[in-house]
Amino acid sequence: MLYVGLGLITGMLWARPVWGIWWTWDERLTSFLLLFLLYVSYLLVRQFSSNQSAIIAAVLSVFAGIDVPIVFMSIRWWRTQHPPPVLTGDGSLDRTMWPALLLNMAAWFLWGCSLVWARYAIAVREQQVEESVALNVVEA
Amino acid sequence: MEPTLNNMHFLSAAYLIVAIANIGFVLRLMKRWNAFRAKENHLAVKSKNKALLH
Repeated sequence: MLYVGLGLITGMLWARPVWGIWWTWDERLTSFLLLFLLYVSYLLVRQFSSNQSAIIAAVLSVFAGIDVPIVFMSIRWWRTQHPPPVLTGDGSLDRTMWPALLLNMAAWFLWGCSLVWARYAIAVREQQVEESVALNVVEA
Repeated sequence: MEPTLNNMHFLSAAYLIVAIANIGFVLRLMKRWNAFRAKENHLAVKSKNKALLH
């Protein structure tokens, strides 16, 4: 949710000087906003711990999963305000930009892996602590 | 698009927002990690006291 939100904000900051507008309701931007709202809803629903909210959260995450390829393909399927693919489509990236792009992609990939690892490690240890708390209660 | 003084403001704002968000996220993870460590230490002390009593 954080990084989709960042994509929306920085995208708007890019659009203002390039397009002259902050926002337009084209397919790419709208599907991306929908993805953000789905993640927000998912996290809000996850705050509640009833069985039913877990099912609703799971359904929302499935919808978010379906929306991801739609966001990716939207600029191929429809003519949008957003530019067509620069790397794989008709557009061409200036040769001097490639090292910067690849370096950025590698850095973001490593950063993403580190965050997922840290988040996973914390969740596993939290579960272990909860388990031992539950065992203590049973023993008592 | 060539960078101009006008759109450099937008670029700087984007860098700043991304940096603040990342730092905030890491701080949140650290807070969660510290909370879990405190709980773990508390449990360790509790079980040590229990062992001493027995």
